[in-house]
Amino acid sequence: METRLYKYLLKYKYKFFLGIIFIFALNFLQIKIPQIQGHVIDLLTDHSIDKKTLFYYILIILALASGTFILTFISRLMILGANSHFDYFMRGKLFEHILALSMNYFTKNGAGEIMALTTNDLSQMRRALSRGFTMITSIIILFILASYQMFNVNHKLMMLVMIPFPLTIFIIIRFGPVLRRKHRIMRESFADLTNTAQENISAIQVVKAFTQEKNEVRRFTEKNKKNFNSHISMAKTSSVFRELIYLTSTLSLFILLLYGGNMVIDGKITIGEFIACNTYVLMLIRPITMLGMVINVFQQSSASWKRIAGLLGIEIEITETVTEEEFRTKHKTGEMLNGNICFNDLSFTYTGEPQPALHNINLKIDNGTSIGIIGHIGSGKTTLVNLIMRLYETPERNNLQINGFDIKDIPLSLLRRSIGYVPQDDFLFSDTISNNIDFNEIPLGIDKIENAAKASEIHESILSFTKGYETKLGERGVNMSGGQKQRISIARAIIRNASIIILDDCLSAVDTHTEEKILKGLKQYTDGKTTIIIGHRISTVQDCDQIVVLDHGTIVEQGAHEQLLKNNGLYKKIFDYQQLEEEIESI
Amino acid sequence: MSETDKQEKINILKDKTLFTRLVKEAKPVWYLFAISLVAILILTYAKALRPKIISNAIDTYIEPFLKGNIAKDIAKLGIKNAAKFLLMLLVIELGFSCVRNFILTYAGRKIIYNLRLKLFKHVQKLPLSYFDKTPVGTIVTRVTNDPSALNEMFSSILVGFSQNIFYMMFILYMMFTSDIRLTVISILLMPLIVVITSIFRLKARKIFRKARAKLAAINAYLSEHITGVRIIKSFHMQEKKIEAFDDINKEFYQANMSQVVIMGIFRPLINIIKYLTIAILLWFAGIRYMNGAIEIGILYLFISYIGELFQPLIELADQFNTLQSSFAAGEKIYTLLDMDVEPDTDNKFKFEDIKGEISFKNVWFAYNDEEWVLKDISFTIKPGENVAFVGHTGAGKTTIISLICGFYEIQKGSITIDGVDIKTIRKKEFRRNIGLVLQDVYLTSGDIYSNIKLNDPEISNERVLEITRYLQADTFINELDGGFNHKINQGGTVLSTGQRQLISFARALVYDPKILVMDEATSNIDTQTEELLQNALKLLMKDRTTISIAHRLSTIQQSDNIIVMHHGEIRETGNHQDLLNQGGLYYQLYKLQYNSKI
Repeated sequence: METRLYKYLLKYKYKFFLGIIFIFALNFLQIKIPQIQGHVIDLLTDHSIDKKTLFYYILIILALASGTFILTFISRLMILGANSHFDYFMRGKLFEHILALSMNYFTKNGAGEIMALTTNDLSQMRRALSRGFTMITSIIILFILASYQMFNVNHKLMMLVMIPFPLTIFIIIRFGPVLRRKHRIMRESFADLTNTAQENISAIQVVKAFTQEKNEVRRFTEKNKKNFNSHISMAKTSSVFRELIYLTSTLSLFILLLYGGNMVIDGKITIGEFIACNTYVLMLIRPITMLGMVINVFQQSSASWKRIAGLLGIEIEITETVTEEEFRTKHKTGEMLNGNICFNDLSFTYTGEPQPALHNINLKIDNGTSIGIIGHIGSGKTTLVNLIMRLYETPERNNLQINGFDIKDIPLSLLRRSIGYVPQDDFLFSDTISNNIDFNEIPLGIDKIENAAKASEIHESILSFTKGYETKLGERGVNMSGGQKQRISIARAIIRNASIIILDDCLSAVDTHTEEKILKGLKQYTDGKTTIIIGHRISTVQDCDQIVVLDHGTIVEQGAHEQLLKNNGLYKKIFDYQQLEEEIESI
Repeated sequence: MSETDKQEKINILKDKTLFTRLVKEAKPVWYLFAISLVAILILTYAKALRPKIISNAIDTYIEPFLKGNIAKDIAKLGIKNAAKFLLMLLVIELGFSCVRNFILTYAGRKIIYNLRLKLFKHVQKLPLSYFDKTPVGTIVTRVTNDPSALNEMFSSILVGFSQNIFYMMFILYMMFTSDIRLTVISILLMPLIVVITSIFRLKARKIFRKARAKLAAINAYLSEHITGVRIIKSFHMQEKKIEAFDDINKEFYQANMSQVVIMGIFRPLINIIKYLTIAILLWFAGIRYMNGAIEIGILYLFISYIGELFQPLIELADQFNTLQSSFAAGEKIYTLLDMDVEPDTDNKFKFEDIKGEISFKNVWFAYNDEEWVLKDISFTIKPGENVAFVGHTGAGKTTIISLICGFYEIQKGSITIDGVDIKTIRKKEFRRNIGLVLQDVYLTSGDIYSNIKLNDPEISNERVLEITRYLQADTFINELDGGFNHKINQGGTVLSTGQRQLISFARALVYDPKILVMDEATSNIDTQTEELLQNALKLLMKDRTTISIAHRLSTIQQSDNIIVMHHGEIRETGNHQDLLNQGGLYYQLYKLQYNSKI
């Protein structure tokens, strides 16, 4: 996706442009006020003013003030409004992009990092683009307008009075590298301090056992002191820096008094003009002293954008070649694919892992049959499922075919509509029960929801909640047991009436008795559908038409339950082990 | 408990209590605050004096000259002197501002430094149960980030507050001494500002809270949907979820926009009141001037002061807001500091020539309430004996180890070392005599030396070399890049499980403890390292009381005694062969564990 900031900002070009125009206009009005004040003062000193004229000028001032009020409001609305929208737009874009990324991304990045991007970094961007932008434009415009006004009064005076301002810029540039360096040291020493605390707390058991508390405190004190010193060193420079900027800009006042005062006496400028110039200078001082801060905001925001662009720049691996409509017309398939699944010599390695998760898998699952997949943790069971749902990309064409098509050619919506999936963890959304069960692009309606709930034997329990199917999960007082969540997640899969059903080790949390009951209940729904049951317990898979035993990513055994027991291989070993374990548990 | 289940409760303190406690933290550096207060007094006075000088110059030199009352050179000289005086004031202001900035940062940082240390020391004393319940990240934030949030309060808010108030008072004083009537006119609209500010604050706070709530909703939504991304993809619900997210996102946008509108009215509104005041002032001052009651410099003075008078008012309101967020950090900090520390005694008792006899008498223990993890456990381990604990998952083996180290307080019964109840002696005293080897060896960033010494300065590098040579761990260490100086990075380390175990053996052995408590690593270890470990273990156990949770058959076979646990109770005891012959639980477990080897 696009990673260049200006491309996104172009969308707001009119708003920014209008914002600048309004900032210009408001500063133009604002700077007229001191001029009128000065004029009034001149008229007063000349005694050439009556109450009526005075009142007239005061009305002008009030009119100008009202003008600035309106213009400020509009300019803020333009620029801050554009920024708020940018913030909103980018957050939506990021979310959309994240959802399109393959699962690879999520195994490496936690929710915390993504949330930091969409909250901290985006708000940092907003701060820079709103406050930073308005301040910079204001300073520049105000500087130009004030210079122009003073130039009109007396060009020599203007030159002299304005000298300190470029000097301020010079100081900011000169101090920049030193401040940045000290800032970096501050940040590093803080990171160091955090690491020390992190290590200590992670290893607190060892610390306590070896009675190392005192040494740890000493080590922490050292880092704490370093951090303290870095701040003090920064304070030495920055306190001088800040005040120096301030002093240089206030020097204008001194120059103005010295030269301007003399010019009044020499009759080159009037006293009113002198006072007006004074006000211009005062108007400039505050924003100029904030320049350093603005630059800082811009620097931080550029780091933020780098992080955001880093995410936007991640390529979307899993893409579609044709739309579902085109695909269906071309291949004359219905709303769903049939459940023929075929692995052709498929090997798969997760990005960044040294060992492949699957080795040369050859497996044919016929439409309407059931298959059990068993193996230890890390044997590759879930990887098989991940590939069938195309959560990861298969390495080569025709490695994996569904309904006779290469999985890469099938539109995602069609593929995933054809699959009813019950995951390992019973993840439910904090939404109503009905929305959790009817988790479909086009809602299927309450009748089907109830049927699915009845089939997974959760209907009664749902009705026992006061709000029934409209009960919101995750709210206070709504506590569902693991078993209940499991059944809802089963209902969520069977409501789709898909041609392929995948049970991904979802029954490991319940005891064998409950497992048997659930499997039996499911039987009528899985009839005639391709059913893939993953488990690490023999009891989960023993009734399947065929069972595949995986070990370190390879199929080591294949066949029906009785046959595999006779084989006396890994399957038999697992069987014996589980029998023993059950015995021990029952002691 | 998994990291995600961990949570922490924050105590709510009264603002007053919190404030007093926070101010107390500043006590050790009160004199710095006093100095900066003096500096602030001087610099705000100098700042307030500025317009006065210019106005004086106008009224005593420029105006009289223009009216022909004084000579040109006198007027010019006067202006020169006034300008000099102004420059002097600016320099004074600069000097005192630097002093103030530096001293305040110093004082603020000193407070943070002390507070962090206090927090860290306190954390060291907290019982292990606290660490079980609280995520590491949260504790780290308490110790490092939260004190930083207080810095604002000490170095800018408290002082900014006083600075603004002083400045306003000085300005009012200058105005008052120049012209009473104009002063009254100038502050005429001030109550209006206060009223408008408080109304807008209320409104803004409401909207701000709303925006915060919406942002929290966005975060909750993201967190939930990133966790559940698998389900979303599997059910191809991306588009619907994007739509749903857009609704929440839009609400946040709208809240932000109302903030923009509110603040967009507020700031210019204050500005317009300023101009209104200037207009009124100009009217009255103009008339007074026409009547000859005031001079033109006074008019200048008031126009300048009005601009300055409004700024502190706006800032005061802002500062109050920041104070609130500092309070929030303070609450978190004091919640941690108020947490009870690990119980310990002042008993100065010291083991002399410890023998290493450990005995449990009718020990009952539960992590939570009455969910007993250990039920009426009794056993005695004689000095120098070698005892292995075995049992299925959840039998209570690890708990026994934790209790020997005194990590948790038992509910009933007693645990003794050499006949002394460990409750009656200092934790430090008996832990000093125990060497602990854990299953997961936590390596800290640093080199091999510091990982074995655990940063203890009393242990020399020679001692480390001696011990590693003794354990024959020096060979693999020397093969590392940099040998003993090999830098270990958190996470990306190259050491295998077996090698980590060896490091942790060495860690325990440098202290030459009388009692060794060990939880063996379960992961597969390559045969070469396995052999190394075997030998090291033998050396490790020599002349020591050893309590281990054994996973290795060899360790078990070498044990003098095996205690078989099941659901928190002792089921069988005896040596390997006897227990096997009994054909009971041990036999079953043995078969389970070493299934393939039968």
